[in-house]
Amino acid sequence: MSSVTIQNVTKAFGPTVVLENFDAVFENGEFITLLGPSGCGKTTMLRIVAGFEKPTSGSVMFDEKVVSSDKVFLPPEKRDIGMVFQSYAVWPHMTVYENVAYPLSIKKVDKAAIKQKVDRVLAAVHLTQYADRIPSQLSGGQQQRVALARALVAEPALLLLDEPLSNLDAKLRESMRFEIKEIQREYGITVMYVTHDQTEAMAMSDRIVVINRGVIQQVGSPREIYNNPANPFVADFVGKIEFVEGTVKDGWIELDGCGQKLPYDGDVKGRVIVGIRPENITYAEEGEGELQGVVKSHFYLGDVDDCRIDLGEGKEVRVIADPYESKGVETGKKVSLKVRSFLVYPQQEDGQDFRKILT
Amino acid sequence: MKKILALVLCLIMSLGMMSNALAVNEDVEGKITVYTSIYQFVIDMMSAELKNEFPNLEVEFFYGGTGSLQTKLTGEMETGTLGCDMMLVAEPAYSLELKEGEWLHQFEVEDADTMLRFPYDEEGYWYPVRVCNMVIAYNPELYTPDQLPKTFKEFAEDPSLKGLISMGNPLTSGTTMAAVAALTDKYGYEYFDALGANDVMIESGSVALGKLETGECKAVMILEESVLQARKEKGSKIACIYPEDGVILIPSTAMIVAEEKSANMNTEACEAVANWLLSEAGQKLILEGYMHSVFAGMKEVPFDSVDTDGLIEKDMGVDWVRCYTQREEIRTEFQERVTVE
Amino acid sequence: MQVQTEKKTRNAAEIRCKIGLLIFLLLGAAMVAAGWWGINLYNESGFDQEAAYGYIHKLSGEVDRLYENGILPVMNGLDGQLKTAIELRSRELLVSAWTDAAKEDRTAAVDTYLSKAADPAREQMELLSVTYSVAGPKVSSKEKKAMAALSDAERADFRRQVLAGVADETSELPALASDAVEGEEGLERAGILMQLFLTSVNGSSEPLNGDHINGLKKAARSGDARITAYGMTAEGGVSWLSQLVLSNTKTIILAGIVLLFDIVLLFFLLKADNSWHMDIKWIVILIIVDFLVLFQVMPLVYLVIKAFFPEGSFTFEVFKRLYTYPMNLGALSNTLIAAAATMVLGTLLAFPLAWLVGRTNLYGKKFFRSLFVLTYMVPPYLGAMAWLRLLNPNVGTINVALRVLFGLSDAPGPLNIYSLGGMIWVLTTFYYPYAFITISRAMEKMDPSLEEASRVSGASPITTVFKITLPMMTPSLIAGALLVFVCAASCYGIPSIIGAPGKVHTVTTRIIEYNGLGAQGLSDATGLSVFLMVIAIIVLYISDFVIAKKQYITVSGKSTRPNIVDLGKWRVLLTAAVGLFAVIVILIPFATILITSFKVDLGKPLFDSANFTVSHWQTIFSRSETMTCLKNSLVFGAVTATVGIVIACTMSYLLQRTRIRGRKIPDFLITLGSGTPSVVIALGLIMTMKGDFGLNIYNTAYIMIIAYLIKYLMMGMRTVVSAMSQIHVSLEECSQISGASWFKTMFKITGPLIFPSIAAGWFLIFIPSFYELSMTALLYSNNTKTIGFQLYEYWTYTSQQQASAMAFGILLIVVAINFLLNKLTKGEFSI
Repeated sequence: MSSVTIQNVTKAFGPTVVLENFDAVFENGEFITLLGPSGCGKTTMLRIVAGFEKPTSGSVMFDEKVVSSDKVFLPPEKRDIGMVFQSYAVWPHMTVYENVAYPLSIKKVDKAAIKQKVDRVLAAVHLTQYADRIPSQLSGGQQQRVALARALVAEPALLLLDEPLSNLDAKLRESMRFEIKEIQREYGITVMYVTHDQTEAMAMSDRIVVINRGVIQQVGSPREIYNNPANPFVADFVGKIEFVEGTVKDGWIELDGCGQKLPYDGDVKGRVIVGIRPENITYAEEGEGELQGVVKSHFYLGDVDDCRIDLGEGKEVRVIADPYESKGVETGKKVSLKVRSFLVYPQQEDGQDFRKILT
Repeated sequence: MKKILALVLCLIMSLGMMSNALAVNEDVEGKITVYTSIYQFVIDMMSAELKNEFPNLEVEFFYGGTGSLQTKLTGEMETGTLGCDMMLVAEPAYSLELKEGEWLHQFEVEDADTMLRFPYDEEGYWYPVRVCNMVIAYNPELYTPDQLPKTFKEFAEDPSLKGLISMGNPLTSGTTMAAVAALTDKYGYEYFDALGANDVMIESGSVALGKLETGECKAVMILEESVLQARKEKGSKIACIYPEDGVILIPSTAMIVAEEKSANMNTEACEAVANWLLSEAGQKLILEGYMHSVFAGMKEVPFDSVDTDGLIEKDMGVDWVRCYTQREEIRTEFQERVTVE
Repeated sequence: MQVQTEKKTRNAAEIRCKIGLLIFLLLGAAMVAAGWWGINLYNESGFDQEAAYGYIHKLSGEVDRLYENGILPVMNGLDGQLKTAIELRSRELLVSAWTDAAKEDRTAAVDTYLSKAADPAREQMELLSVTYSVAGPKVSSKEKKAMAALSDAERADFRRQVLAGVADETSELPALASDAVEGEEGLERAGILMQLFLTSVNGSSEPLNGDHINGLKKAARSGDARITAYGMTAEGGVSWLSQLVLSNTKTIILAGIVLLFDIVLLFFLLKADNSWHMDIKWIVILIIVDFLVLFQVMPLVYLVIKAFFPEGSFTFEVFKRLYTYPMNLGALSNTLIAAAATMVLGTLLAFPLAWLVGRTNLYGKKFFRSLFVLTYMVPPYLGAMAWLRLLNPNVGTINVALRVLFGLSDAPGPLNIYSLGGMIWVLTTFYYPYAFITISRAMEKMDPSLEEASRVSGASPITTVFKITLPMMTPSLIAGALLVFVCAASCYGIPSIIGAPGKVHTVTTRIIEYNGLGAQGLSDATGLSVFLMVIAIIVLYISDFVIAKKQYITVSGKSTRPNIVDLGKWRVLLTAAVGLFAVIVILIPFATILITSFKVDLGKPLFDSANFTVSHWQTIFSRSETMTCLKNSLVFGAVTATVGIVIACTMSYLLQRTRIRGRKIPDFLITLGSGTPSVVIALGLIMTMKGDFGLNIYNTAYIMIIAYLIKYLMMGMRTVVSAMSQIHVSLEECSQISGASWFKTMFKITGPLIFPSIAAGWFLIFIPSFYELSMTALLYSNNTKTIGFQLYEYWTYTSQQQASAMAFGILLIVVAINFLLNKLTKGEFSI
């Protein structure tokens, strides 16, 4: 178990800068997720920590030991880590047992000890009865667990996972999430997890590092990230949100176009972007809510009602409500909306539209 | 101008040689294909002169090494038709073989008995038109004559030559086949044992000449014409030894393919060409091609070779019939005694 | 209701399809039957005497017809007065002989007939002459000469009398004619006379020109019912259909059999696919299968049969004789030993090289990769030529250097190229690229995370190579190794140049030696060939079926760059080692060849006085023959490559996008072709493609192109197949949904996507076809000499120096083409 310190790491491939001034510290035993859209650099960061890439500048340390810097480079096999790859990378010419035992046999551990450890870890991933099978006989989920077992068997200090669940189906993903978390607690290992799925990140992490275009956007616990996103990107990437632009004026924010306003007593001045999460809007009796609008579209999803409300001039908000509460809400109906809370960000001069996050 | 030349040639032809009913050269027409192993540049000269001689005749020469052509002909024989009308390739044993296989066309050459100084087929199926000469070649810049064999016998038996001699492959080269037939006639199959013991290298003439130049070989059994060509065209110093136990003269024949089995079915034109080859003009070209002439009394020799009649006197002599009928046996003996450890 | 209608339409389509199949089935059967009839007709009756006799007698009743359809066209072409005179005479003859007619009628008739020049009729007449010239008696050269000696008037007279003699046996004949027919009776006599008549016509200015006659005689010489056909046509009794059949019996039978085979195959294909409608892709597939069966399976089967049935009855004699002959046994063991050793050495070399060049940070990787592939681009016997210079025991350059370096005693030695070891050395240096390319490609495709997982587990890069990379590459390793084995076993050029002088014989050299020994030799050669074929089949079986089952190569979905291993302190050393290897194996031999090409005297150093010359280069490129050969090689290579790549694309589609049962069969055949020794392919084609089986392409360019195709098709196919396997099928499905036909999809979607691989595959087929030797040596004809073959001729019969110049020239050309293709595909193309 070790802490990982990433100091000012920058990585460029030729002229393309993939990671910029990456600074982070992961504590011992923490479950850290690098979260971001495809191409944001999270996998590259993971590979730098693993030792498959060298940083262009900056350094990486495990506890006090420098593993990557201008002067020092420790190759992957010497870093005492375990890694699970997106493609599982389970060796097809070896049995499950041999796959899992590999890290130990490399370290020349004696056979009895190997057996004991392998059995233990196979039990942890519920694959004991498959020990003698070869990977082609296993399903995707089972192969993934073999990879996990292999990564853990040598009890490494650090476990790296590179989008390990993205190839599994939804139900399996959920159960695997749980299993990985369980194992992490049991082994007490530091975990660095890479994913673009914010649900996964929220469910499993102690802390999340949100990354966009090679730059850290925010580091924090899931609660922090969700409730206090540092910028519109984070707000949009984690959870659902709708943005409307407006101007701060006399204790109100006047929303563009639709002529409505919300009460505001915060510090931000001038042009702002207002973000409202759907769960923070409820239907109110007529005239009682802060906003009025017309229901534009309505999706009944069984456990919730998902509606888009037109505030006027095309400005929209989204309401996700309990179907009991929204009984009677139909497309075209006039509704009154109560806003419990919302986020306010100053608008950037370059006018980047954070509403359009493309992955 | 061309016509006059043609006329003159005609006169020369008719003067000494034969009275051919088809004396009018413009009557010789159509097309013929000739397979030959004569050197390319000789073919070029021949083509030109034949064009003058027979303006309406299209002669297509197809050049190939003897081995290549024989392989090709074997394949064609399977089909029942050959790809040529005339062959200027190989030696009398091959002609005998083809004659027996009924591939050849009979034709007459007037006064052949007085004109030619080499045997020809009495029934008119083949005539020699040029003479190859198997000798021993060496590189005087690297060795002096006293270091070298003076006879074919020494060539095979002298232990100081072990690993330093080379010769052609009788399985693929007709002239080499003829040569070894003559040698085994004279010395028996023990000659082959000797060759084998002396680690003779079996390869083509061109490769062998190269090895003389580099010194890899001391003496090679090769056709004189290859040496003469190297001497004239490259200024090579390679020289010939005319073995004292006999040179081996190998006449090369002209054969005309039987009409129904030939490519263009134009035996008349073939006869005309054959007769031209056996004329002064034709023989002159043969000499330019580094080969000896078949004409009795012809004193001219190719390049700086020696007198042909003198060679004939020293000729070891090849029994062509034996060469043909016992070819299998000779080949097998050669294979087993020379090319196997 | 709707379901019912659907079923109905489906059933209707199915029925229509089945009916169509049935029709073609019957057509095929009809063709076979017709051909059979044609053969029997000819065989039984030989020349149809009745018909011909009848014709002649009909002359008496059909003056005009004869004149119009017979003699007049013959005389068309004679000019002016002579023509009129002759024809008047003939006409007079006929008229006076059979009918009385007025002079005015004659003239008018002449004018009328003169205006017609019916070619078919002319053909009829000419072929009638052919009839007589083949089945009838021959007119000897003597008679021809005699007739040629006649003056025109005399000849005309002669003709007249002859014709009279045709009609009336008692009529007096001219001396020459009566000599010819003396003793002959009946048809013979009439035949001779007709022949004389026609020859006499031909003797002066020809209405039938020489080419015409020759062509016809040649046609007749193939000795089949064509003659009968035309004979019968002359009677006016046979339809054009029968004519067609009779003149092409064998071909029609063959076509009929092929059609039957196709229909049966199509039936099963449609059934398996369960969609009863014709699609162009079935046709394409059938064409390819037909091609392979006709040109590959048939010749090989024929060879095997011939070996077991040399004279018609089953016997092991040939085999016993061949395989107990000590020299052959020696050759067999040499071949196997050499091939095995080459395989082992080649693979041992190829794997580390592929790894170093593909997976590490070796200096100059790209350069080395191109360099190693270079030896693939030249004929292997080039290597033989060079190593001969370097390692011959007496004066070999390297030997001399070693002697000086180590102060050894004089010649011979220490190294002797004329030995089994020498042969193995040269074979290895020239065939290891096959393994190198195979392994490299597989290595590139391997999922790098498999190796990374090993690194993370604590294994060093070297351990990873041995525990992970190597075992995973095993199938490719074996495939590459077996490829080397087969190539080495079937090589001719190297053993013939290096082995022979050292008394080391191989199966291939023995086959060639047997081949030159006449007819029995041919069947002996066949018997030995069977040995090589068996090897090829065994190797193929192992390689394709056993190993394929254990295919480990996983193509990673993401495009990740393979992890580069840092060689650290070994970097310089290993680069030097690889460089040294490259120098020894590639640079030195090529340099030797280049130097030789500039030397006057081989024995003297290059820069001695007057030993340097460009004359050899000049000679080669000034000879028109060289240019012709070069052109031939370029054309043949290009055609082979283009046709081959089309087949490859189609086959790869078949293999990867369909689930048709039996689609592996053409694949197997194609692979078998590449594993069959060149000599065997050529022999098989020679024996079966001369017309005995309805196809005659001997002595044409086609037979060579087909031979190259069979041998080298697989090279291109593997490339295309692997490229296509990386294109997800959804891309094509998308195109189809958009309405594009299968054809269009191939062209517009798949094709462009795998274009670099197509270009690479094209080149891989082009190169060996370009410089091929063994097959060319057996199949060449006047017009189809190639540059590879000419190189061999130069080496054997002309001069080493010229051969070297030509060899280096070939290398330059191939490198140039490679460079061009690279530019054309914007650098994406690489072997």
